[in-house]
This record gives sequence, C-alpha cells and structure tokens, in this order.
Amino acid sequence: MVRLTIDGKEVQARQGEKVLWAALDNGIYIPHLCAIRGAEEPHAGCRLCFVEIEGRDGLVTACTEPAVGGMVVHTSTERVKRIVATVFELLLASHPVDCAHCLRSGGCELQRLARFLGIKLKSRRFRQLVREFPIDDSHPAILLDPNKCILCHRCIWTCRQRGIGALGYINRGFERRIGTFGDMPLAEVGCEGCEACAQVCPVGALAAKR
Amino acid sequence: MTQPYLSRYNDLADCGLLRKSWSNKTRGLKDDFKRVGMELARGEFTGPVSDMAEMETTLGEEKDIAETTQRVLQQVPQHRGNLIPILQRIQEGLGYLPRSAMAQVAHCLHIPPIDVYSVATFYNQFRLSPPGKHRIKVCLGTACHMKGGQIILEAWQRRLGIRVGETTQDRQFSLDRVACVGCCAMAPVSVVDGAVEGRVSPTRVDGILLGFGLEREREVPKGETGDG
Amino acid sequence: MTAKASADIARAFHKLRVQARKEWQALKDSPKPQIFVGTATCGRAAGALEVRDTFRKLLAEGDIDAILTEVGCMGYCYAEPLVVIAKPGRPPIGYGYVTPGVAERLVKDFLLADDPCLEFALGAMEENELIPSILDQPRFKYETRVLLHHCGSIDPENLNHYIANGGYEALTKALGLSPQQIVEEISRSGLRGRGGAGFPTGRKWQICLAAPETPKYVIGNADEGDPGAFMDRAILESTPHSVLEGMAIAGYVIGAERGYLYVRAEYPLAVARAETAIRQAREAGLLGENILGSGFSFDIEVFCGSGAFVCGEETALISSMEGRPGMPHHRPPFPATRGLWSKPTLINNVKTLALVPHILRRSAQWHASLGTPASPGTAVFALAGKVVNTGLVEVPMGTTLRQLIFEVGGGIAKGKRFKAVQIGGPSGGCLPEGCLDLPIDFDRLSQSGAMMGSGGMVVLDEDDCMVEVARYFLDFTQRESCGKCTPCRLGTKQMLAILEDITRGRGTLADLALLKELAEVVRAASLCGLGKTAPNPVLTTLRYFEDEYIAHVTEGRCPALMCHDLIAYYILPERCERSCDACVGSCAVEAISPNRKRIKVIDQAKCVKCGTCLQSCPPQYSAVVRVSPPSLVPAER
Repeated sequence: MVRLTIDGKEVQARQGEKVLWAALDNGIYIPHLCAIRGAEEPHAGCRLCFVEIEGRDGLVTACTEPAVGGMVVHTSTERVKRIVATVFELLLASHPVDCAHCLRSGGCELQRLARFLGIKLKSRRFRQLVREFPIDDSHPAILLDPNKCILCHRCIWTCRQRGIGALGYINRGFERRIGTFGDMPLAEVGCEGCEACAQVCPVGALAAKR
Repeated sequence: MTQPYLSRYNDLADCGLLRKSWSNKTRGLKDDFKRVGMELARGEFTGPVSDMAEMETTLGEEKDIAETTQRVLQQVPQHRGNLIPILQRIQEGLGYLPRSAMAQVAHCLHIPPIDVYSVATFYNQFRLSPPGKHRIKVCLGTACHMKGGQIILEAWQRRLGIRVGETTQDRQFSLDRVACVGCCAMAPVSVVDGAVEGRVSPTRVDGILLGFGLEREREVPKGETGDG
Repeated sequence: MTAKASADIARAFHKLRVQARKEWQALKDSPKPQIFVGTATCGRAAGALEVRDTFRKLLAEGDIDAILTEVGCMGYCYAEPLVVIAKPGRPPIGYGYVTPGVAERLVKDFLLADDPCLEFALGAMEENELIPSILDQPRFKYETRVLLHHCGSIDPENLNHYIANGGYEALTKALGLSPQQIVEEISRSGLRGRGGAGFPTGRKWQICLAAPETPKYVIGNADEGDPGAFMDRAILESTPHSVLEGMAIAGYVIGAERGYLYVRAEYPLAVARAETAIRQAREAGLLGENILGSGFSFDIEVFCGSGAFVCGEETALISSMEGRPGMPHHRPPFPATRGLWSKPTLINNVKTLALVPHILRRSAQWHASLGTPASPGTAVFALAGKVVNTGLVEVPMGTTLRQLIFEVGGGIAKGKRFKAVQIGGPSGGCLPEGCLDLPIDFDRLSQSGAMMGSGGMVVLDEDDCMVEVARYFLDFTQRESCGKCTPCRLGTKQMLAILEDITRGRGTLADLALLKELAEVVRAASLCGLGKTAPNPVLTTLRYFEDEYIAHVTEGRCPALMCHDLIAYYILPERCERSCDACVGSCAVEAISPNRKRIKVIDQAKCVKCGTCLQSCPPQYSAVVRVSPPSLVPAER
C-alpha cells in the first residue's frame, strides 16, 4: 500500500493502482465516462478525468496514472475545471439532448456530470454538430441509437467479456460510431439480448426496452 | 463528500456482469464467433441498412468472391496480425470488400465479424462497394491543394456527374480523394488508373475523359450502341 | 565475440564487396555511353517511363550500344523527368524536362553525333572545364547530402551498386561490436529521431536493449502520412538498402530477429523496390539466418499501411499491425518496453534508420560535427508550393529558412511575394517573413510554434490565404482523427466548423476567441500526438496573420483572393477585346456570354469560380480579374 494526498485528504492505495480508483474509493469524485475497473488497459478516451499532480507539468488523466507514494493530487484546480468543462461541452454539443424522450433520462451520466460540473445541458457556446445515423430498433430487448453514443467503449468491452462480440466500432473520426457487422440489425448478429451493454451504457445509446 | 454522483455502473465487476476470467470463456467464444461467421458466410443475413445495402451481387459474382477469398486465406497465414494484408489482397482481387468475404475472413481468423468490419471502415484504402472500370483519384495533399486541387476535383465531379467516393451509373468511373501520393512537386496531381498525372488543369480533365471516350468507341464496334 | 569470429565476418563481407566493386567499376569504366533515367514516382508522374521506353526503342532500333540504367529520385523534382547521360570523354550531363521528343534528339545528336544538346541540359553533374556544372548553383553551397547522397546515382534495384558505394560496411562493423558499444556510438553522434519529435535515438535504443522480454521487434516507419512530404518514399525508391541496413543494425543492437518495414500502400513503387531489396539482401546473406556467418539472424517483412495518417503515431501503427483499427494507446507503456504483441519494439523513422549506417561507417564525431550542437546532422525537406526549385533538399541543421527558400529553393515562383512557409504538415505551423532568419532545428522550430514534423515544407505566396491554409489542415486532421478521444474527435470538428464559417464570411469576432480557446484545449487534452499538434496550424496563423482573420470576419473580404465564397470573377469592360472569345469557350459551365457591345460578361449566378477564364484570357488584354468581397462586382447595366 502507498499513501498519497488527493485534494488535501490523505488516502491509501495499492501500489500501481490508478489514481482514479484510489480517489473514487475514498469518496473523492473525479469525472469520468470511459474508465473500467478491471480492464487490462485504460481506454483513456473520454478525457474527463484530468487532475494536476504536484511536480508534473501539464494535466494528467487519473485513469492512466499509477498511484505513487507521496504523490500530491489536485482534482479541481482552475485549469482542470476549464479543460474538463470544455471537453464535456464538446460532448454535449454533439449529443442529441432530448432527455424528455430518452429511455435513459434520470439515470444518464451526462445529466449527472452536467449537474456536477455546473454546466447547462443545452450549451450554446459551440455549434450543434449532431450526427444522423439510423436507429436500430430491430432487437426485442435492446434499442441501439448510435447518435447518442459518446464512444466510451464500455459496451464493446462488456459484450466481449461475455464472449459475444456483436458490437464494435465503425468508421473513424467524427463519423465513428458503435454498430454491428455490415451495419446489420442487432437482432441478426448474434446478440443474445443479455442487456449487459444497456446496463453499462452511460447514456441512451444502448437501452433496455423493458 | 458522499457519493451521490458515483455512477452505479462505474465498476462493472461489481455489477456482477462479468465473468471472472476471459479464459474460461474462450472456447465458447470461438464457437460463438464461428457460428455467427458461418451464418454470415452462408449468406443467411438480410441487412437493410448501410452503404452496402444497395449492392446486389449476382450468383457468378458470389462465386468469384468466395473463390478469391478462399485463395487469399490459403496464401496468407491465418493470424490476426495478417488481417490487413488479407483484406488488401482480397481487395486487390475483387476491387472492393464484399460483406460475405469479410464474414469468411472473420470466420477463419476466429474473430468477431465486426472486428473485420471495423478495420475495413477505418482505413482509407478499403472500399465496400465495387469501383468503376476506370479509377480516378484526386490528390488533395498540401501542395496540390494550394495549387488548385479542389478546382480539379470539382472539374472531375462536374464532368462525371458524381461526388467523391461514388461510381458512375454505368460503372465506368469512380472518383476518390487521396491524402497525398507524394508527387508534390508535380501538383496538382490526379491518379488515373494507377498512372500519376502531374500538373492537371480542368482542360486536362476534359482531355483525359475524351481519351477514354475514344478508346471506348474503338472497343464498341460500329452498329452496336455503347452503354452511354 | 572472438577475434576469429569477427575476422570471419569481415572475410565473408569482403567477398561480396570485391564482386560488387568489380561490377561497379566495370560500369564506370565502360567505353559505352550510359543513360540514367530517374524513374521514382515523381519522375513517373512527369512521364519518365515514356522517356525510358523511347530510349529503349531507339537504342534497339538503331542498334546503339549504350547502357540504360534506371535510378531513383535525384531531388530536382521541378525538372522531371530527369536524364543523365555519361559519354566517355565527357563529364556526365544532366537533362531536365525530358520528353520523348527530347530523348530522340539526345540519341540522334548526342549519342550518334557528338552534340551534347546543351539547350536541354541542366548542367554537368561534376566539376569540369567544358560545361557549366550544376554544382555551381547556389543550392549546392548549402546542401550537404548524406541521406540523399546515393539517391539518383545508383540503381535502387542493384545490391552491388549499394555495396560498391560503402553499403553494408556498417553492418559488418556492427556485428563485430557489442550492442552496448553501438548504442554508445549512436548516443555520442547526437542522432535524434527524424520522424518529427526529435527523441534521442540512442536513448530509445538503450531502453529497448534493456527491456528484458523477448522476442523483440524492429519497425521501420515509412507511413509518411503528411500530405506534402515525400522523402521517405524517395529514400525507399532510391536507396532501399540503406534502410534495411539500418534496421539490421538496430535488430542486432536490441536483440530482435524480426523487422517490419511499414510503408504506405499509396507508395506502390516504394513497396516493390523495398521487397526487391529484401530479397537481394537475403540472397547475399545480409539478411535472414546467420548473417555473414555471425550467428545473428534477422529478417525483414514489408507491411503495407492502409491509409491512415494516425498510424504514423507509434502506438496506432502497432494497433494496425495487430489487425485492428489504428487507434493510439496511452503512453506509457512505451513501445520500446511494450509494443507489438506486447513485446519490446523499436520504432524508428526510416530516415533515422538510414542515417545509422552512415554514422557507424564514418564516426559519431563526424555526425555530431554537422548541424547544431543540440540538433546534429542534416535535415531533409520536401520543398513544395510556390517555390522555384521544388523537390528534395538536404541541408545541415541550423541553416536558416531564408537560405533554404531563397538560395536552395531559388525563391518564389513567378516573381510573387513571399508570405509564409508551412513546415511540418498538419502538425506544424505557418511561419511569416519575420521568422525567415530562424535557424532550422528541432527546438527552435517548436519554440516558434511550428514543428520539424515530417519535413514537409510548403512555401506560400501572396495569393495564398492563411485562413484557408489553416482550414485545409484542420479539415485534414479532422478527417484523419481516429475518433477515440473526445477533444480530437469533436474539438477539431468544432474548430473546422468555425474556420469554414470564417472562410465563407459568416464568422464573428467571438468565433476567433472561441477558436483560440478550443485550440488550447485540444492541444492540452488530446490522447496522442495527432490531436496534441492538430491546433498548431490554427494557432500559428492566428499568431502571425490575425489581420487576415479579421478581414474575413469584419469585412467579408479575403485579402489573398482565395476563399471561394468571398471572391468573384469579373471582366473589366474597358479591357475586354470585342473580337476575342477565349473565355467564352473555356468556361465549363457556360457562364460567360457577350453583351450587346460584344463585351463579355460573367453570369455570377452560374459561375463556379474555377478560374479557367482568368487563365484563358490572353495576356495582352488581362481583362478577367478576381475581386473580394464579391459585392465589388458592379451590377450589370
């Protein structure tokens, strides 16, 4: 075990454990969307868990930073707040904010994060750049709406851990989305309807219909 | 601080969603992929969505696809690391990556078909629909752009009546953009059927197309009508 | 290694070299005239293959006894196709802009008669008393060719040509040294990675050498995705063996048995020549099992990249070699300790690898003495854009931009005014006239906001709009973003949307502030080098050319008359010649028609702004002009 200080609080962590988990286990919240405890390698894609570490230049992502004894971490300096807020607003500007009709509303992590960061869901700072992919309603149990997806990787990881591998990424860049082989309906690519993906989805991109 | 914002789903392992280890499941996993792959390979799929949906293949083409794919899979060791070389060779043979070929590859490499599709849609090189007989690629590298590559691209689009990434109705021409062919000193550059054309102007575009037109007239004997 | 073993290696190599030198000398001393045609991709684009075939045909038809050799890129891309003819008793003469017609004249007048056709000549290829030499040109005062030394002088498909010119000597020498000695030598030479970031090569090799896991891999990175750089292609097409030799040395040092040469699929000729070279090296025992009897085995395979700029990033490159989309991972772990198939992997740019044999053969001191103390050695640039001598140049680090552009590059084409130079492609930046006296090295360029990057150097003149340049690069990085991390995927898209609005005259001053802020966030928050450097073109143009942005935003005017939506073509009635119809015929969309007085008028609604009319208008009239903003076009009376 090593001792480190996060936001002035001394906490313990296993040697090599990532700072993000050390903080969360001690009740210190760091915004994050793509981190998976137990994953072999951190995805490090959402870029929300930035922290500042004394003695280090620039910001580091808490999900990739191993805890080291004596480390002093700050989770909400002005710089961290500014960067995290902007990254989060970028996500919102490309997310169809239609909470009233969304199956996930109430349990949505974007809603919580917005509240935590003090950001309005309908931000006007950036141009609204929402995508318009077809919604897959073919499966009896699961609804797949790639437009809402924030590409956190959790569903793909889970689907694979369960040995199914029906979901994956298609395209790249702004056009990148979650989807199935040949863009076929989810019902036809071996999905067993276990709904694990819907349970881990932070937004309404994969939602259980029940 | 209490944990009101801690997501219920952060810790997947605690959700009881996950098997303890990957290896327990590996065998079943392969079977699953195999099953899906086989269904796909047998053509038991009817996907309504996607760019490929409009693509209909004739029986003869299906045979060609299966044979080419099989041949490539025999030539190249069936190893995940060879996925890209395998797809490259299939595309070399067929001009594009048909869905059934990708399914067959996934089946042989024991990987989920979506992984093949991910790769095929990620890289610029791969195309999912058949190219035209004549392939035109317009270079839009820095030097070409600054010397009017966009104007050349527009000239091609105007003359062929298609947009980038499309094939003409008669399947004669397809038009693509490439990032850079490394002939910056010859800008603006277009690659026509593999041959690099340097210092292209809108007038040269007309000239190249005229050349193809003449060639086709020679091919189609008098009396018969060309396919326009 | 015992003294006997290293003597055996030296003996094995000596045999190869004797053979190679014999062949090379026979070629040099041959009484027959020799014709060298540059048939790298750039030459082919200009028609070098037709020229080569013309020579072949004429030699066969006339039964002329001459030796025709295909060589790589000589670097003078502006004058392609290039041919060098060496006739006994005369210095070798270089000819530029050779067409089949010129080839015919050269055969008839020079080979058969004895007129060297100096009207087509660029100059003699070496100093002599008869014909002015191209070495007298100012560029050769500044150029120091190390990497490009053999480019265009040897046949890339002939191993003996390479060996006869010092090739594989370094590998032979390396096999007699310990890996640690070689790492020390490389460290002493001060060599820094030529892929762009300039990481010390010796340190990278040391880390990989120290990594305990096996097997290890060497990857030569020629995934030259920067749209404006082509030196990796030129090196692979012109001296592929220098890269293979560097890779074999690297393999020996870190203890790898396998190397991969990662080449873009867009470079088919480079792939073909690299594969030929690998085959030849294997046959000669310079690759494969038990190289030169040393007990060290190393083999190389070519891997074709499938076209993704992000694969220049080493972790993304590894992903693609593992059969996945090219998505970068968080570093550390660095590939040197955990790379391909989670094994220690040494990834170096092919230029870095090709420099290694030179350093081992000559000495670390020699390399360290070139260039500047912090960035020793030479830098290869692909000069393109509005400069007279486009092509490849190699200068010592520390040469100023002014020397490079105006002396080596011959200045700005068509007598226009220099505006900026874009260095380092999508990761680099645009530097204005005020920065011209900046010496080129890794650190100075970074300080100025640009970057060495891949070495692409595009010269821009007064007709180039800096906002459009920034938009172009953002469009490129946005397309090439892998989409894994939020700031790069969405931030570059937002920045592009803002820039598009500005180039269309719809931007606001608030947009400029937002653009700056976004640029900072994308730079600070992105996962990999692509995202971290993507804002550089925007940040540098905002820093040095803010007035152009403001003209677009506040006046709807493009000062360089480039932005499509902010310009209009207009025919000056007082200059238009009534009897001339050149523009009418040239217009692709029939937007130009004569009015009652037979003065041509452009229908602005139909005009697609392709600019053909401007080019077709005879120079004595020069009646077609571009104006910005479009509202300057007077309403038709």
